[in-house]
Amino acid sequence: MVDLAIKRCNTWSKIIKNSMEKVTVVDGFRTPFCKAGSVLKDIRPDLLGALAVREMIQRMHNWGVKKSQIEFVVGSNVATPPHAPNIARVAAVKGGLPESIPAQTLNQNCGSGIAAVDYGRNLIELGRYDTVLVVGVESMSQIPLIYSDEIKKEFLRLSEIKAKTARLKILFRLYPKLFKFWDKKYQPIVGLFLGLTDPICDLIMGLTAENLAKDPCFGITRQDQDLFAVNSNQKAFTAQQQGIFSQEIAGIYVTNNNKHAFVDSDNGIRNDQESISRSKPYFDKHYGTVTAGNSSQITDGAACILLMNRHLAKGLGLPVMGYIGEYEQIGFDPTRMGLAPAGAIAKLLKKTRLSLKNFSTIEINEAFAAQVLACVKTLASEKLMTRWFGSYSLTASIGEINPNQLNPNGGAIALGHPVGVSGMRLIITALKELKRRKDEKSLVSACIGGGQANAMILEKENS
Amino acid sequence: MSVKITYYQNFKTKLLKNGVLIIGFDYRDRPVNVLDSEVMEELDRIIRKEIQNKFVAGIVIVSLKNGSFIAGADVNKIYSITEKNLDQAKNLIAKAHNLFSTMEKSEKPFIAAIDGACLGGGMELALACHMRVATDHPKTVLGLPEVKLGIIPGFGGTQRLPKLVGLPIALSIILKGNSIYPYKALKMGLIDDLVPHIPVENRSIENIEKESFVSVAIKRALEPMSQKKKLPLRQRFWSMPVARKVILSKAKYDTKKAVRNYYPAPYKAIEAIQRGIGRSTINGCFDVEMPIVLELITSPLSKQLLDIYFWSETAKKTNHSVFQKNTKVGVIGSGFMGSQIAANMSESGIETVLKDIDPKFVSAGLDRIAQVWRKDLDKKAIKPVEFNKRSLRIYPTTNWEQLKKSEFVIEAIKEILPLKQKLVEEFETATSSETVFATNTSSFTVVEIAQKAKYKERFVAMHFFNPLRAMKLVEIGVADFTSNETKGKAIGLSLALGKIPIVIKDSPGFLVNRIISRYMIEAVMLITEGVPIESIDKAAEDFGMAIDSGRAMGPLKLIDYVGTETAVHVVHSLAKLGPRIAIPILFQIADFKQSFWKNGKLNPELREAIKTLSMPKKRPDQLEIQDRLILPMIDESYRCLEDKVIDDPKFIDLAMILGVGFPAFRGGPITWAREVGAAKITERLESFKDKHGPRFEPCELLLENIKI
Repeated sequence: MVDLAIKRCNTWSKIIKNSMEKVTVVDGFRTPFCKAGSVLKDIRPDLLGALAVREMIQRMHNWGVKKSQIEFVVGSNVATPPHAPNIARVAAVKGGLPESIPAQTLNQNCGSGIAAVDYGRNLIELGRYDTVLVVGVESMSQIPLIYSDEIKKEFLRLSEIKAKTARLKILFRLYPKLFKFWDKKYQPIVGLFLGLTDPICDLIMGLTAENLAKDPCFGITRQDQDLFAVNSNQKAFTAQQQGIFSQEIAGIYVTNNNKHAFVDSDNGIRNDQESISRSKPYFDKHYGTVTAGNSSQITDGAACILLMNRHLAKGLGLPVMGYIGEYEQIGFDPTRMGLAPAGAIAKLLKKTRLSLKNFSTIEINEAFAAQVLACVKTLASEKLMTRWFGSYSLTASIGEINPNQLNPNGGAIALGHPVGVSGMRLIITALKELKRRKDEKSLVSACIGGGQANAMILEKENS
Repeated sequence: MSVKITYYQNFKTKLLKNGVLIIGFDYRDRPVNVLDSEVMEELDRIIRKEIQNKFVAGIVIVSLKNGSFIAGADVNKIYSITEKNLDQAKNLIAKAHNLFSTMEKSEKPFIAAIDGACLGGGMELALACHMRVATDHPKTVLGLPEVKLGIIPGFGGTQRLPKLVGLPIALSIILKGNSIYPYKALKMGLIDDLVPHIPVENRSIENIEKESFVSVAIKRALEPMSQKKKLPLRQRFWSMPVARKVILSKAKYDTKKAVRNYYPAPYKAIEAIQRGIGRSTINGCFDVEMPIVLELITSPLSKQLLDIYFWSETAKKTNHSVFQKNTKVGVIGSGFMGSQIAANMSESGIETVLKDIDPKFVSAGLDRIAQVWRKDLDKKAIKPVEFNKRSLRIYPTTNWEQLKKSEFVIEAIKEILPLKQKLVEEFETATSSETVFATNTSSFTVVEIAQKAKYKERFVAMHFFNPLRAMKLVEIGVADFTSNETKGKAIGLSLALGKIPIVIKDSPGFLVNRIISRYMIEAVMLITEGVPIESIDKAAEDFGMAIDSGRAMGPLKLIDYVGTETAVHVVHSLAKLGPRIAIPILFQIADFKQSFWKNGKLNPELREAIKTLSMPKKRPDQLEIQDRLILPMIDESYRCLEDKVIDDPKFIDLAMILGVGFPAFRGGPITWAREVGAAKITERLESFKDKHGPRFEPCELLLENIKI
């Protein structure tokens, strides 16, 4: 009994000790973000993840740390590839980690990246592990087409029936159907659109943004959105020119049509105002304002973040990129999912008793320009806060976000939004920006399809 | 009745309750099972006893060694057979024939359960069984490699195989001597069952029946013996008299093309197969196969080929430190050689950092590697998973940072000395002082490359040959300052890559390039004299150059293959050895980068160049051309011995056979020279010296050898 009590005491003291110490981000990087169907289109997502894991192992090797130091791998992935459902495991082992290290994939739609880092942090704070590798992978090019139910039924029947004549009969019936793609019943379903449509309200993400854009309480015009998009692209372009992104990107060698090439920069940045103002409303073609130009792009990419117990990182003499701070998430109206970050940020600030002034930068994932604008407007107005988040008892206005503070290096509208990786990119970018600005804290937040949002504080110093 | 285990010297048998007898072969005090007279006698005793046993319903033959069924007959025993003790060999073969025939005719089914290598005599034992069950153990291969040692299968392989798989497949297996992998063997009908391999820690007779492949074999042993299996239609077609004639003459034609008349074994194998058709197996064995085997086994050629085999085994046993698979290796330069070295590393399961100065070059190197592997994929030699694994083992980079913690670095950059020296400088600042630096230079010495190095003891040369996959030789160039530890590591790595390392004193061109350069220079000199390009290559091909690779290749084709620029470069760097190695006058006037052969003829640009030289036209006969090409190589080999580049002459022979395809049937330059006689060679060289200049002057050691 006494033994058990002492043991428990020890565990608790370890947990308390760990939770007082912030978890260290040793290193983090991302692969270049490439538009779907471009350079990374032939790379299977598990291989893309393996490349990222391998890069991290190589970096650890260069620091003189064994790869077996990693005790657990958390994956972040949304469009689960059918051949690798637990993609974190596949990427980890293929990438060269020992088979003895367990891995788990986490999916919270666009919030996965931030949630996975929080999960890894929790495991370390609990004292379960000392080192956790977070790997995010998303290959939106490789999301499959799906046979319609009609055709699937025929295929199933074909596999069940053994008699040759009956099989032939089914085949004869099946063949013409396969090619009748003008008929809705037999059309293959685009997995990508299916994934981007919220089954709760049956709205594609773009239409939830339209809901915000059209709401008179925000007063968001097409011009506002386009200006935001142009700004985002402009900022990203400048950052790329100044080499800011090359600090966070790990270049990879990839094959494209059996030819190897070295990719080390993002290829989605649209640095001409024209094309953005020219682009037509995509989701509500007649009366809408949300266009492909002022929405995030469909993109492939991967990212890796190495989390470690602070004492261990210090003991091993490893570099420190920053520390993980408080985390908060909320659930919200699925038809207006883009507004949820305002709630998440307000909730997090209320919990930590911090204000916007405490943060050097605030990264809100740019799923849609309309959605970010709505969040900014809501945070600045007590009226809007009360209206949307009154029921969460979050009524106080947080204040205006300084334009210099919000997404200083552009966002997903310019760089692309590989859904499972974006959150990790926000964290990496925020930490790198903190280092450049020599500042203390930053805040990241992302809206999540299905009506949620999460937010996380990142710190440069362990305070 | 209960389970009964009986222990013999090299066998353990176990009679199961269901009447199946398992014969477990476990050659005492040896890592693998081999067949020799002692084993044969014991096996004979056991089988004859058990066939009479009324409790035995069927017999399963299995190896108790992990990863090997039976590796074949004992090569040392084969080597020791001479005219004098031929009777012993005859007795052994007769015993085997009788035993195998008894097995074959027995009413009780014999099943071979194969888990691991099943080669030569072992395969013939399996062929004598009624059925063969094999696993897909990574080491499982089947084959009859006897032809490679200058003999033919001697335990009935030439008789039983055509009857089992049909004539065309049997011919391809026996004549090439290649190993057949289990999946292919199943398709051919060579094995009847392919069972997934499940590794076990300790195989013992006590619980062998629990292993899945053995349990399948037991099941087969209890089934009623099926009627003789019919060959597939296509194979039956080729067994019809007319078709048979076609296929046999085609086999002869192909053999002639591949080995000319220099190796009798394939022809004899065809003869044995041809004469065996229509005879019963036992008659075929005794009347056809046995005389041929006895004739071949005592032939000097077979002994020579075995000698070469033993030499390479000795080379593999050179003192070394065993390479650890998790050692981080770096390859610098992703050109032709660099990319091949990196590919070879990755294939051997070694993680490699591949560095070059520009991503473009790295990508080009990766393309070359992937191209080769994609061919493996197409051939189904590897699975996509393996392709991915191999690709991920190569970490491409342009950054020295990634080589910081490497323990072994191989350099394969351009053959420019200042570049290499600069690289050494960068290498020393980027890595620790213990990292081994191996240069894959073909034209510089380790001393030159490491001239400005701080820690010289870790510099060594590892000279690989192109194409790396096929060429098994690695020259380990050791300078005076190279430490033993470094040398041991380099040899260890070569062995891990499946290569045969030969240790050589650090000197210009090391061994193979130095010797071969004399041959290439002479070939170019012959062109300048107006000798037709065809007759030069033909003379060398008729001598047998590169015949063992399956495609004879003359000196000019060889220069085209390695690239004229490279060849000139090698010769240039060897010029310090003396005036005998000088860049031929043709290269001095025509600074061309094109090949000698163009559309089956001499390159027209070269023809023009030769005209301008207006040398006196000569038409030497083939023998003279041959001597002019080969004898300088012999001279240079002796010079290497003289200069103590290498101590053991047999390694010169081995290096020349493995490195540039000096014909194995001639036994390498030194062996051949001893056979021909030093006196005759020096005489011939002296006469060339008078006619063509001092470059033919025979060396001191050759002259000394006449006296002996």
